[in-house]
Amino acid sequence: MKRITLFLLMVLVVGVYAYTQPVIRIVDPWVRAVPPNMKNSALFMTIVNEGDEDDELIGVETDIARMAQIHKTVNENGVMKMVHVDKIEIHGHTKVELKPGGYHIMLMGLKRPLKEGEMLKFTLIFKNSGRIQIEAPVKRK
Amino acid sequence: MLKKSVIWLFLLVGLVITTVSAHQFYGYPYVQKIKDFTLIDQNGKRVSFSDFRGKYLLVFFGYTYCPDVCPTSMYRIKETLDRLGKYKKYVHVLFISVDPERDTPENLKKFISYYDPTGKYITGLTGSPEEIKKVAKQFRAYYKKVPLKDNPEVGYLVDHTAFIYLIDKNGIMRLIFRPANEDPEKIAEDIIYVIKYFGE
Ligand SMILES: [Cu+2]
Repeated sequence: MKRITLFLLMVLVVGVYAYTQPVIRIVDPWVRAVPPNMKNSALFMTIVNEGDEDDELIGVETDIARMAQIHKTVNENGVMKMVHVDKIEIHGHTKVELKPGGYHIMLMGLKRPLKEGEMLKFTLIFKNSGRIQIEAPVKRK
Repeated sequence: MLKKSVIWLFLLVGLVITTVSAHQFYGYPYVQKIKDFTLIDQNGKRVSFSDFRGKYLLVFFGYTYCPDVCPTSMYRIKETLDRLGKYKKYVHVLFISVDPERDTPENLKKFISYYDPTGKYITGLTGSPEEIKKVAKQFRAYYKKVPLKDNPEVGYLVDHTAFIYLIDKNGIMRLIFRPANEDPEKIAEDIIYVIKYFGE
């Protein structure tokens, strides 16, 4: 009897624990192939949060560029501007798309030219889920 | 005075015809005569807008350091060219730099050859900041330098309008494609319609 109670308690604890966690999945990450003399590029992906709890992307680390920042391209009366944002919120059971003309991870000061098809490593830093390592192919599109 | 009215009448008739015709334009119809200008191409040669008379032109203002908007637009232009079929030979692209300080002819050459390895369909244009300013004004293209804090590597970005202008073979603007007009298939359909309408 005691055992069963303990078991039930554990199930409950695990259940509550699972409930409170965001579950982040990164879908289709890619880096834009750019002309060899270009110093900047961008990383795109879809961030899916399969958990109940919200999460936030707060930073990105990479060796390929001197600086990686979270940006958003906005269209202000036809003028395209890029604004630096501190974070991207991904609410529980939703997804956020990082795509051309919208949110992107801007890679500034590329240390070497990118080759189409090569895989690049990034560490995404989330407020709750912590550090997530990904590899993204360089694509021409 | 009379000449001016005749031109206006001409433009009006043209506008009415294009409005009532069956083709629903994807781009925004806009009629404007482009005054001639001269800039420097990717080979360091001075070329004039009038040198391209006889071609249908797609004009885009951008800069090679541009990380998101310009590559997106250049891919869109490339995809559009690929969908023109036999009409591709009547079309030429002008990429005009809004960052003439950094966009040297050499830089432009590398940039455009990435989207057009043949070198036949895209011309990159740069010039003095004053020359660029004058040209941009005519197209109502806006651009502004935005310094980047703590990033000496890149230094600055340039906010800019990202329209693609279609100019007919006589140097008259006909359509404007906005960034939201992102379907190359539909842009190509508009271009082919305009070419058939005004002649090859
Ligand atoms: Cu950016």
